[in-house]
Amino acid sequence: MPTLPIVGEVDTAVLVAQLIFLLPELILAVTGTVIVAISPLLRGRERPLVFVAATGVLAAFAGLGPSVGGAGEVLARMLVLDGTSTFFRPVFMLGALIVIGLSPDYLARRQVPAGEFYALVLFATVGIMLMASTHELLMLYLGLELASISGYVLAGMLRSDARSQEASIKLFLIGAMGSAVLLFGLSLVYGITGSTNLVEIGHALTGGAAATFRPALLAATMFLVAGFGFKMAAVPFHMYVPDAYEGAPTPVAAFLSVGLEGAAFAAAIRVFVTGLGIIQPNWAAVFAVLALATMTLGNVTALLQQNVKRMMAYSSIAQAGYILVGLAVATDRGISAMLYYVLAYTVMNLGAWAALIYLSHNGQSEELADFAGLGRRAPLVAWALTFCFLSLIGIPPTAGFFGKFLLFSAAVDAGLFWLAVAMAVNSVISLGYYWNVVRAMFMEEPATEEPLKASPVFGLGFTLAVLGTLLIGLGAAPFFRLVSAAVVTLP
Amino acid sequence: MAFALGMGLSILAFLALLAGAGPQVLAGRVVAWSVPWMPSAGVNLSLYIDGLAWFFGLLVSGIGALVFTYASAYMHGAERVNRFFWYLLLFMVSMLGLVLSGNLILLFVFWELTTVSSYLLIGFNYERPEARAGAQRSLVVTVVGGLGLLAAFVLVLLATGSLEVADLLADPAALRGHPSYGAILALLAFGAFTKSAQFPFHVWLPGAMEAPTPVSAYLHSATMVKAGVFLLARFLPLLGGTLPWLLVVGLTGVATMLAGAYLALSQRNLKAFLAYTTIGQLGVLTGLLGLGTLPAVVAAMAQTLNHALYKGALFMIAGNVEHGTGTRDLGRLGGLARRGMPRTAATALVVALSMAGLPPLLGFVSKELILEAAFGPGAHGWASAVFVLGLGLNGALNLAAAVVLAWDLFFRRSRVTPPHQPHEPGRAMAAPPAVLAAGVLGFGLAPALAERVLQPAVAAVAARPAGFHLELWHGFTAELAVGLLVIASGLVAYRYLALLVAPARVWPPALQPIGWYEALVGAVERGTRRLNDLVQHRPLRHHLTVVLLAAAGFLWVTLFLHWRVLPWGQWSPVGPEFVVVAAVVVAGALATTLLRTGLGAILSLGVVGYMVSLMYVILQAPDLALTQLLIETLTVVLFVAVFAFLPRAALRWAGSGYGSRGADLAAAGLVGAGAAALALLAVTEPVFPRISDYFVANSLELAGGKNVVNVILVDFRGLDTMGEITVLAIAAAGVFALLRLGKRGSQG
Repeated sequence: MPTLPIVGEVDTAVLVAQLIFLLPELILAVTGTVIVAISPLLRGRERPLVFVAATGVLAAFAGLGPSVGGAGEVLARMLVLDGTSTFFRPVFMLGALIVIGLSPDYLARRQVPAGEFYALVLFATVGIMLMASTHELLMLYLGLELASISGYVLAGMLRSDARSQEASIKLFLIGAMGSAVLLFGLSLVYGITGSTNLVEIGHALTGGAAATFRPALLAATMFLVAGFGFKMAAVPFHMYVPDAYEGAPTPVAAFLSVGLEGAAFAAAIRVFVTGLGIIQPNWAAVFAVLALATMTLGNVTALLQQNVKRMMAYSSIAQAGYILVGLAVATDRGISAMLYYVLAYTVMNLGAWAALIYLSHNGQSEELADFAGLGRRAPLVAWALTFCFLSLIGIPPTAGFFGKFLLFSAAVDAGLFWLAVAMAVNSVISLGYYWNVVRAMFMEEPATEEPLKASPVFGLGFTLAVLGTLLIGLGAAPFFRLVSAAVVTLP
Repeated sequence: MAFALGMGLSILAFLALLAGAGPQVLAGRVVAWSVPWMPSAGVNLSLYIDGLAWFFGLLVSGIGALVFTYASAYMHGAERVNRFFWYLLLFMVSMLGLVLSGNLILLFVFWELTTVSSYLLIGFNYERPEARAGAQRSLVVTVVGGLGLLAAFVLVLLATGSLEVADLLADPAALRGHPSYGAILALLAFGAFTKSAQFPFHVWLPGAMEAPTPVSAYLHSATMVKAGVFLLARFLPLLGGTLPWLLVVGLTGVATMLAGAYLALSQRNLKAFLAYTTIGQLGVLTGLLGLGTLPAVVAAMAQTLNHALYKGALFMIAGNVEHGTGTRDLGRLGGLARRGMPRTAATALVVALSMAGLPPLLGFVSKELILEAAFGPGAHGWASAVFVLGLGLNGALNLAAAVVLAWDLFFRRSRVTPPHQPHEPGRAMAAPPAVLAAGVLGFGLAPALAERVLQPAVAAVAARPAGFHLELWHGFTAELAVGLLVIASGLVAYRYLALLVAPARVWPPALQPIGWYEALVGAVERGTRRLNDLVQHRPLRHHLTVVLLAAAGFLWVTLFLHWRVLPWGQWSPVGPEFVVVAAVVVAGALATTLLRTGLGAILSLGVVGYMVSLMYVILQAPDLALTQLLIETLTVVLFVAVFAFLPRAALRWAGSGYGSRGADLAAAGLVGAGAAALALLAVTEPVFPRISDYFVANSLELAGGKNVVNVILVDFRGLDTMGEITVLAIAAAGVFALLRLGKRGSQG
């Protein structure tokens, strides 16, 4: 008779004591709930909520304390404490913190209900953190849905803007379909292995019956690749991204591009490397093709965009292509490079989005023409944006450079020389469209000389992103140690 | 402030190298220092000053001080002058970093920074479209090259396990025998060639002349374009001495020295003229390093010094001429020595003589060395012939160019009139070229001094203590005879200049050196547009189709690759009742797609759902059947309720054209068949111990219930059931709210 885990058999006292490891998520969720509860009482004066939200994230950082150094699966195996979760949880919180800092001016200008916005960002952050820190397929899926559904609502928060509504609907329809495909794959894996725990799944696949060939497992793997492809914005599952990011409120687009994409990568590492590591050749090849298609199509299409927000959507697709190289390589080197790149991407991409938010909350649109003369109207923002672009291109000594360098070395090391060449060629292509914006900012005359403004909170968020891009590049060593320690090893 | 900083820093760096590192380096030792940056990836902040780095460092900082001095007057009164000096400072620091780096990644970092600062400086007068185009071209070409370089460094790391210059030089044979030797050589050479404007990657350098003249003097003749030469010299002991090296580096150098020197003579713009002669000389340096023998290395280092001095001076003189006359069109300039620029003419004469390789200047010394290297023991007999021919022709053409610069511009009687009355520049603009001219004269008269500076550099490149001796007068040797022949040919070339350059003037556009770049960029742009039209701005339907096809495509490819092992013909028999139900399902699905009214489609879809429920009944799964029935009813009711609020027009659709319908049918077929195949695969999968066994066995014992399904619902999974009920209740509340909202909307 098989023994199945029944909740009654788990010691409740132990369970409660282990809640301490969930402290960051709990703090974020409680903060979100509190914000939702008090925002109606503020009667539209919701600006101070930014401090509540930021304090919540900072407290959640502190709440990580007990988890650091912990190892193993806790809370009835729903949460896993290991290098990967230790790495991703703060990275995602950092992303959320920056987004929260960048938002208040925009929210006020575009009359977005701030309370709901912050609460949803916090809930989504809980979701993406859970995705990155579990070996349990059900928890992974719950985290994904928590993040996704928050994302659908966030995208439609400009209620009087039809494009925002369109973004929300597209995100929802295609997102729901992606979730369905993913769920199909997950349930097949469960059906084949009889477990929803990735470590168990790995054991089940390496033990006994593994020797016989299993077409159903391969089919399930393809569905998982497709399902994660949606969330990573990998070509050809990326089609909703440009419309969704262009229509969504700019801070939301920024958050989706780093948060949801990053979490999809974190979860994919767990599912594929920990769970399906035994059939690595099968999925790695698919990821290699996806990486090539994603970076190439993203970059090439970005070249012709006149709307910078749309350009950034394609840019984030292209960046996802670079990150996918890590999964295609799937060696320790590849995975650690991938983690490093996700961290670098979080800060540099948010830094670039910040400039868009800045223009937007000053009443400008995000067309290329609006960047004309920004170097004169707002030199600090223009230079910071240029710096973040340099990082996104991969020019040293920025964080993006080291990310690319590590991915590049990993690809060459694993014999995927063609993929490394593709990365290099793509970096050059990306130069074209980033350069377009820089040229407009510094080499074209502004339409007006009217100065642009931002609140100190925005400045703090922006500084955090740009400083991060600088420090993670200049002081690369400790971060590299961190990602090396966080690597999930193939069996 | 940037000016003061740049000036101070260049002088400081010069003195520090001279007095600080000088004694060590001259004694043949290496000054090295390192702090870890990212040690696990082999990246460190390392400084490595050997003879080569020292020599280049002195050039960069020394000429830097002169350029800063010159620019202070040249840029006087210009807009954004402070920004200019910041860029120039950025460049100088990057260039110093590049030559002094002891770690390849650090070197690459500075390499890219020189690219960026070069871009900023070329595009400094961004009001001019030519400046923007030139800046962009330089950026694209050199960044592509930089990536090649990075790839080479990554391969070096993987081959040797180290990125430290010191480690690499300690084991010089390691790379030559490695399987990736070819790739490393090709990528490294590519990076060096783009930076040092080697044929056919030289297309960016003429466009770079849009930069202010001090920049041209500094970056695009004396220092930055020598970065590629520096890199080749750095890797000569590691990669050189092989046939591939000789072919790749040597022949590219020969092609460049000929193309550059020849194209220069056809230029009408003074700065473009100088730019092409620079390309030619960079070809000479590359060619000598490609040859790689000890005399060749000596000649390369001597010519590097000579060229940096005389070409820097010539660019400054070109700036002074433009400053004094208001033009740099060679057709409008002439006889300036007698028309108010005698001091400039004197300086120009000295440096032009050094350019032509005449005594008693440094150029003469280096030309003798070059000829000696060409005639000396090369790797192969035929190579020797190619080099003799190439270097000789280059020397002749170069001499003709020098004559044009000195004689035509300053001394020959001329009737053309420049826009302004020519006048001498101020002291700050006259002194720097004069200092450089004094340099070529001084080193020429006292070759021992040049020998002292070059000795450590040559030793570093040749990887052994180099015993050589520089002299102005070698006696009546074969080199002297050939040198005289070269001079004679040069003068002939000058005499028949118009005839000589006629072909270059009528060159068809497609063959012009810039052609391939424009063609490539144009092709990329067209391809991009086509791709863009293909993938953007399509309806959601299209997106969903692509997505479904991709998912099914993955599946089909997988199945196709493993079709042999599929469980063909292992399925159980099918009863007649199943066939009937399946037929109704198919009919319902077809009706859903074919009916033109929303309501009809929904009801057909409902039929499919009810049939699935019937299947569950046949398979004796009443609980599943019940759930399916409920869900299906709820869905249909919800759809109909939603339709009640939609405008009538939205409920009828015209359908798409037949072509698109065919495509849709194919897509649907592929996806559907994929799903069916997947279902078959899942069924044939060996099943782990079923969870139902546990419930069946324990239902009575643990929960005291005989109906297993009931026990599962209310006991084993009681909490889940409660959760489901709650969700349903909330959903119902939401639907109710929406319905009310809709009603209000339709009223108002």
